[in-house]
Amino acid sequence: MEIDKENVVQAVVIMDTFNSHFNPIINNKPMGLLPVAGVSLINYILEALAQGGVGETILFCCQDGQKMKDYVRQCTKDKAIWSLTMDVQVKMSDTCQTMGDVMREIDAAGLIRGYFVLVGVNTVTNINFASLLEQHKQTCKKDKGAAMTLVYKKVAWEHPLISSDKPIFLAADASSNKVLIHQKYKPKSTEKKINLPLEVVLSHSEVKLHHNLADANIALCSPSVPPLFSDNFDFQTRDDFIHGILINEEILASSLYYILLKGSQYAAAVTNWKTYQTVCRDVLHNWAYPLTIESGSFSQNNFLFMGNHNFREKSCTLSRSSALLEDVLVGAKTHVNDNTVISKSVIGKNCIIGNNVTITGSHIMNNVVIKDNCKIINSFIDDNCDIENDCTIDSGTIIASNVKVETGSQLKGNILESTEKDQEKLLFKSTSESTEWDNESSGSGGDDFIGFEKNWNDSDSCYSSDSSAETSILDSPVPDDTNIFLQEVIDSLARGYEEKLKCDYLILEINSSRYAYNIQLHEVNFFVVRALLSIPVLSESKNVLSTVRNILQYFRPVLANYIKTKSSIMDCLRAVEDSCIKCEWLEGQSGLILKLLYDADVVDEDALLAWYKDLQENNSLIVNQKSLVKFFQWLEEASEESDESD
Amino acid sequence: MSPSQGPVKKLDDKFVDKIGKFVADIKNGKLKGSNNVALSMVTLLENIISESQHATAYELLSLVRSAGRRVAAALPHQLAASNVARRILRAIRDENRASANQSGEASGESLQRLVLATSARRATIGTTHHDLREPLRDHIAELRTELESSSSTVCSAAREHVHADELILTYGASALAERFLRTAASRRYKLILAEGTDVQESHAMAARLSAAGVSVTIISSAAIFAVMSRVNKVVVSVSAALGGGAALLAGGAHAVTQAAKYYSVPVLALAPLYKLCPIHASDDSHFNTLIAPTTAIPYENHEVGDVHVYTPMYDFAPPDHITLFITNLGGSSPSYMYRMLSELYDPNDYTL
Amino acid sequence: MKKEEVQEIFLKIMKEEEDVSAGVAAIRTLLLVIENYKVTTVRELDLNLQLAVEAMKHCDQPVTAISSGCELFMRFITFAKLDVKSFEECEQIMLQRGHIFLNELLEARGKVAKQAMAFIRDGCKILTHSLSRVVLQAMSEAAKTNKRFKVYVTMSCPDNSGELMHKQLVAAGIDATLILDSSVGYIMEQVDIVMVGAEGVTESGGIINKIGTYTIGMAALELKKPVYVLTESFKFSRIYPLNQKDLPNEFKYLSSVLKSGKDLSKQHPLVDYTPPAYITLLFTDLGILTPSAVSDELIKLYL
Repeated sequence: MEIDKENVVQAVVIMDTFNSHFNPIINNKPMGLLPVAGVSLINYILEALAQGGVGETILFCCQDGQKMKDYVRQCTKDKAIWSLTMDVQVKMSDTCQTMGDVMREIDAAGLIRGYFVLVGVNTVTNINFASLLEQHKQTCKKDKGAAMTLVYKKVAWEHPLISSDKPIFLAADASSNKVLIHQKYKPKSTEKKINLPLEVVLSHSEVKLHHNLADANIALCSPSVPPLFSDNFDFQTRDDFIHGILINEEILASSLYYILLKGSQYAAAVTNWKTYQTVCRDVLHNWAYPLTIESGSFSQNNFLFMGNHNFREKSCTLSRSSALLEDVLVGAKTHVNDNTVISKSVIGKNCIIGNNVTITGSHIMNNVVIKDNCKIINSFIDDNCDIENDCTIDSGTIIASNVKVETGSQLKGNILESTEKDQEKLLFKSTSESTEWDNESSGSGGDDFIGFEKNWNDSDSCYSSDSSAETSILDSPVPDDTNIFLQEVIDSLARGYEEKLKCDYLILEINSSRYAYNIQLHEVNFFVVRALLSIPVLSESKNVLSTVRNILQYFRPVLANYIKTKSSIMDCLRAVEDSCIKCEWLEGQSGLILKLLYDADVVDEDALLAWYKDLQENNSLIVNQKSLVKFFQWLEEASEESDESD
Repeated sequence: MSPSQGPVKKLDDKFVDKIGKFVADIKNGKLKGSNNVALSMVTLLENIISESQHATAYELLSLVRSAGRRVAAALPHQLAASNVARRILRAIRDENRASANQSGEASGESLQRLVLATSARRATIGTTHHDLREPLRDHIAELRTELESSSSTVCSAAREHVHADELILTYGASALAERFLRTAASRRYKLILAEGTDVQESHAMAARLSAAGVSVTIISSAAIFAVMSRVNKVVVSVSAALGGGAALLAGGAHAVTQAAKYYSVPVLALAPLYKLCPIHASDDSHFNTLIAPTTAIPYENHEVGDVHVYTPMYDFAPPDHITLFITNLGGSSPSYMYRMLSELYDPNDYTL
Repeated sequence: MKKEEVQEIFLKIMKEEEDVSAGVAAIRTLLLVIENYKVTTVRELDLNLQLAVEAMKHCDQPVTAISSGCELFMRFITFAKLDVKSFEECEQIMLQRGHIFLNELLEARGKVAKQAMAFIRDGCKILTHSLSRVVLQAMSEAAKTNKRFKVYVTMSCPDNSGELMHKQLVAAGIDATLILDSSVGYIMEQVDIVMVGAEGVTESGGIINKIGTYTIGMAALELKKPVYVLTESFKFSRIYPLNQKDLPNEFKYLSSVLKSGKDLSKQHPLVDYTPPAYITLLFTDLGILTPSAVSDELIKLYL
């Protein structure tokens, strides 16, 4: 194809997702090499771009860039189809922390010559990029400031692509497809109302509201996009960009448009384990045609279709009594032994599966040995693992590569990683909460957690004892309103302490901050106590304990104002716990602080005991602190005494 | 050892590149229609042959065979491409035989050869060092003209098969069928067009035929059985004619041929020679694939992953459903297809 | 040359090598006859061979294969250019060609099996009739490639050769079930394909096979199941029966029964004729043929 440089369609693929949804698998290999239905993600996006008419692709890697470079070079040597019509460059950078940084680097390097396609590596799609980019260019002709056209796919209302990810609410002008409002909700959010500003409706004759869109991480961009990122340093993610542009439309002189994918065009992004399963299933079911298992796009037609959407590679061996129920992909040279039942799973190459094994809803990568009588349900097992006999691996367990699981282990929602030196050992790392993984056929979709969320925001983590309450996934270090609030409260209190202001004024200040940042009441309680224990004078003082006593005495009215009810007392105690964990100047002083609070009658005995029990159940980090233990011992004795005396 | 039993020859990089570009063009949709695919394949093989280092029969055979295998592996449902490769292989063998003066040897196995042959029967490819490229060029040029004219040749027989006041049924949108019917338009017949999977294209085809003077009625494919009793003939275009006289039709056409058989309506299958494929539909033939399920149910309506949607690309019609295959060389019954196949291709090349 | 000697050689081969079919054994016998019984003229050789064929036909072995195989053999060796000076050279040439022919035949079974393997799908159910070595080989090779399939074998009275087939299938690790001949109609709805061997292939494209094949063909046609016949090419013969009665008696009954002069209408025939309409495809070493292509092949040979 003789195309001159000017007309080549360019694409930029952001190779990292800048979040830890796929830890620990992503720790050792780049996101692009994560296999979906047996083929690495990078192949999907490159093949889609090549078939979609893109002539030049820039892969921007921030992590493990060398591995990607080697992989691309190997594919080009193997004459992969996309390498013949598309030029692929790999750019590496160690300093980028977010997508915004990547865009700034791209702008600085001047790689983009015109309109380009921006995708993430986790996109699986079959759309024709060239024609969509043409559409975007037409839009730009009409509106000079059109910066980006977002590509969305309309899906069913409760589709797992939306329900397990952040739902989007989009309001747009119907005639020009210009985006007016764009809002993302937390997953499983229970918001029932939408706020639609009146001028949006008044100034446009027809407004379309969308609540069923899946974001595939594809955007068609004008040349002005990288400079916009460079100019605005707080644009860290694409969502920031969108919000920034929508809010500052006049200032930035840019606007956003959107396109809905129709017909056989498919696009989806793999953002967490749940969407990973959904996308795998869609690829198996041929929705991403022509990127299919069978059609020879990748594996040169080595797979046999067996009905019920089961695929097996030609060289794999299945024993006669084994059964593949539905939606199964079995890779090359894999052996499946007797009486094994597999359903809704993807199994990689060179695996050996023993007798009487049940595998449901799981993804097993290459070179895995699973011995007899195991049950593997809704889990992910990475390369080179050894699972011994009689194991039960359940409920969203993620096992990283090179892990050996002992005989008879029962794993439920755990993450296993191998320690570095000893490749055979397993390391039980963390988290019992939150790795439930919906089994489609179980039907109990409602209350389950969405795959694999780690709570990054510390103040929230010890906050929600009820794990199905709102959780925040911070995928970007945007300063939270609560942190700002905390800082302000600290400032107010510190100033008040120094200048000996009246507590009423301080309460007023704290309340106004609270309304400014829209903080909930119980959070206010929490943060006030936290702030109290974080006043700078504390960290500087020599005798922490006496300073604390003075502070508490001084701020007693404040405390009395906020800490009245039982729940607020619990908030207070949690704040103490949090402070003791976080603040080094309070090291080991937790028991003493509690005694002070108890003596000041801020907290009562029952609350203390209940909180202590909570601490023990949740295995909090301070539960074994000496001072704390001593305090509670003293408390019990005191209560016995008081009981006796009463 | 004849090439069919040996390992695949490793192709030079430049050939692999060419083949890769060819495959990419088809996958990107730049090359549409089996006629175009076949023509491009001829060009590709011609280039490969003229650029190859050696010109002996053995070398060329291996070269074309490995190129054909690569294309077949990458595009299993483009049978026209592998048929073209087989034709060229046959041309090479014929040239070789002619130049080696091995006259009187019928190609392929037969009882006659079993009985007549001398001990040198096996070595079909001699060690001649003739440069076969020149005579091959003529063969390939002939092949190209045949491909270009195949559509018009098939359609030239239209007036003989369609008579006045007949009711003809056809299925889905097909360029070849449209041309055939347009050529026969002067016969004043009535056409019933059953919508295939691509509804828009079927409607467009009906509009064009109507503009050409044919009276067209569109029915949905659910109504095929209901109208079949009134139909006089069924005309369909095949995607491939298989060994034994079976046919691969567009998805959904099996219902048409089954209904036709029930009412004893003759089925005319339009099959230009490049669509004749010597293989049989068996487990190892991968040419039936599934296409996107969106033709059956759009993604928006598909909420739960427990639903399996199958949309096969082709439908298989057994030999007893087809009455007559209309090819460039005239009509032939399904039971006679083996003869045409043995004339077009060498049995050693049936599996590339 | 005595009839009994020929019969002895023939029967010896049949008994010692179970794997060898009657046709191939007959051809080997003929080769041995040429080697061992020295004659001086071509005419004498021809007579000898004809006598030998007659002798073998009276051995109580299936005659169909013997007759077609021998006829082809004779045609093969006599088609050589025989205008050489001495008879010994002539004989040598004939022997040479005979051995070539035999080698070709021995490879035929492998070729047929290879072609038929592709039609055995993973998870399919196959119905077969009586003992056929070609079908057995095809299924064994399919089983080796890890295809999983189930086989129903009819018992095939009166000699119950189906039991031997069943035993051999099980020994090859295939899931096989022995069924009664009369339960073919019952089982037909469950099977996916019917695969049988043939003792002879007629010029019309039909086959002559163990009694019961015709019934299976009819049931398969009714229930729309494909019937695949696996056979080597030397079984093609020139007869063209129009109905069951048209088959020569020597095919249908053992030679001992014919000689004993019993009333044939009260005897059970051993083979029947399945017309080409009931056969979907024939797998031969010449390729996969439709029944109509068989006559084409035969015409090419004989005319």
